[in-house]
Amino acid sequence: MGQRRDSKKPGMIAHTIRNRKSHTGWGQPRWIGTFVALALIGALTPAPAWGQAWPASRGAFYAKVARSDIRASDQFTFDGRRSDFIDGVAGNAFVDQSYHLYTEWGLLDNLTVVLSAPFKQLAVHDLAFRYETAAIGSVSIGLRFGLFPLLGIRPSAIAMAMNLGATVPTGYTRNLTPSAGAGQVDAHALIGIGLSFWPTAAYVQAAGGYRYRSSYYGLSKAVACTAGVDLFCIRDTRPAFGDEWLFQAEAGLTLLSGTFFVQALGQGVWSVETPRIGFTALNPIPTHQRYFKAGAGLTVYPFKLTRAFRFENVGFGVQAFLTPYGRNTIDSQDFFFGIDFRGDFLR
Amino acid sequence: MSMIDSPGRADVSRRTFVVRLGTAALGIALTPMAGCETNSVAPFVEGTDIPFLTPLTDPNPDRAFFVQYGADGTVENWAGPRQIARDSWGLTIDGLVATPRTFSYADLLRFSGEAVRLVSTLRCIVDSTFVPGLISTTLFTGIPLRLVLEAAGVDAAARRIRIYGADGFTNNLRVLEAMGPFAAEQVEPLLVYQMGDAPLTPDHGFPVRLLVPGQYGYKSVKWVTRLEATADDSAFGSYQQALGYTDDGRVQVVNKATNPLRNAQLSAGPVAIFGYALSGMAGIERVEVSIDDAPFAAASLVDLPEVLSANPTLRSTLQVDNASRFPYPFRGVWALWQHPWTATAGAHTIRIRAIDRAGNTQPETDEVVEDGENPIFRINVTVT
Repeated sequence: MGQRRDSKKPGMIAHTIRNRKSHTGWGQPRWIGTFVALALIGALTPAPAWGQAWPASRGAFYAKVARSDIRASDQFTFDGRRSDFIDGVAGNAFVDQSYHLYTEWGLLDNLTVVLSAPFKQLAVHDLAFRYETAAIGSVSIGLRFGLFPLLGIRPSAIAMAMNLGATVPTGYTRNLTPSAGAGQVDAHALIGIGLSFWPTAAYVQAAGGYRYRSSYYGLSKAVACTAGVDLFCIRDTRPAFGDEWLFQAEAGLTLLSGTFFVQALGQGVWSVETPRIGFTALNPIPTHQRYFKAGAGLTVYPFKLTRAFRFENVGFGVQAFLTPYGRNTIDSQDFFFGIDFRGDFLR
Repeated sequence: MSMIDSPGRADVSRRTFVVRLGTAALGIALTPMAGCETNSVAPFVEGTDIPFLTPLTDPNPDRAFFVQYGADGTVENWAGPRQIARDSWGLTIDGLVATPRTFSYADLLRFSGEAVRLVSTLRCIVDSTFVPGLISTTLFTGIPLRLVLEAAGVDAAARRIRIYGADGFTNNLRVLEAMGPFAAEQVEPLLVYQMGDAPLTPDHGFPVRLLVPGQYGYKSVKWVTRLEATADDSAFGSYQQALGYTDDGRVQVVNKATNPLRNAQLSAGPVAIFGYALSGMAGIERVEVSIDDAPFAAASLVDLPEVLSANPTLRSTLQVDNASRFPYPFRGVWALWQHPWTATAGAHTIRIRAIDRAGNTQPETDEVVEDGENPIFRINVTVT
């Protein structure tokens, strides 16, 4: 962290210091950017971590590309018992090996634009077939507002932000087996609150919010599917997904002057409707699900050690999650392998 | 970062960029990206290298000889695989017989001079478009069922032989099906003690199972322990009574393509359409392929010399040794076929049908699953 006092270094560091004289008049402490970036490393997780506490400073840019490896051989039943994902199928009947792009950019000091897009690669198999689909899934577009400045509260170790966004289908076929997404437009709103422990490079943050499932299917398409004849699709039923409460919590700590970053992560999804409609190998997206995931992450910034300052903000990370609790959802083990980068853009 | 440091960055104002960003985001959201989307459905038995003889074991169990048994609650009193020692096994023949008898394994082997080694395909009646892979071919060695029934003296009034397995599974054969006379091309039922020239495995009915060539797998009762002759001519059996499947177990003419896959994305050029066909009522006469509703054209059946070349263990089987009685393709044994196709760009539907030597063919659609599913096989593909 001490490296940031060297204003002669290129890129983000110099801009971070200049930002203390921001035209907003709220001159953010330099560590704000650090916590924004660190907290974002959890952004690519099984249920996207839409709730963040720190908005990016004006012009701050963050990008992450990750490959997921999510596998499940079991599912949680309506009442929370574990059973085979597909009866009689041994091994991982569900595999998600997708690519994810996550970016965000500080449009203003207290307004951050967020965009994420997955390239989904899904495979499920039952007793007879292996079904595979690859497609661009639903993109997520969002805005984050820093609430304290809006409320006239000066920056402190505590931060709070409102996260608003929508997930939007990209024209994929919603009734393929399996589909790249739910096929409908959804909207979410989460409030995140965070606490930094500066000068110790550590933070905690938590968020909670609501996800509205719109049942608007106009941005995905369906193929004609004849039951009993076609195998690659299911009947287009346009199910009514239940709205969800979303929760997340995380804690992070950097070590060795920011070379290593470790995280503890938790995520929860709670359908407002009691899980009652099951899912299948052919349509593995539950309409009503509840789960809690717990995980940990490690990101390494190797160029900080080599003093290759041009690349010191490039990190290589891995995150792993288990699903200790669930109802009507897959019991998966989730891994994310990613490269992240942070810098400045059009400050 | 590079854009920040680049000399040209002043050419893009924040306002311009924000407008462009918003436009791009909207474009991403609203522009269908169907061109990026692919989907495939692959049965576990796929490709152009389907072995004529199915391995009894394979590192991938889905490619090995299929196994069906109970204990899943589908049929009441139908248990899982039985572990029966050869010395404790016995086959009781009772009911309308002159002399009720129980044959030990050693007793059965006294008929070994009349043992038969043949090739046969077993197709489960559940095997279908949605549950494929329940079909396999291998060598069987056993004693004609007729011999033990004759030894017990089945009464002339008997119409059916009720069959009982140690796992609780039951079925029946008409006396004529069990004891003959048998039609040309037809192989009589056997009490089998070897599959693939090795003793049966527990999963396949060790020490003795029934094999009824040309009939669905449920007629070939495993761990068979009792045969009851009866004058009751009604359907009897676990599948018939519990699940409503037909009592006539003859395998209807059917074919499956194992290549290309349904909904496959192919490159333009040569494509090998490949698969197998089977009929329990006569040998396969021909297989025909139609692309996009064009007239059906004959596919090539893989001939017997080629099959024997790849599977020399077939040489001393009942059918191969008696070519005049059992013309190839054999009744109740699948025939592999292939059809070359030069794929052109676009979406195509491939339709395939088989016809047996008795003139039986596949219907366009088949909504009745109780007698086994056998509609014309369809594959949709996209060629780029």
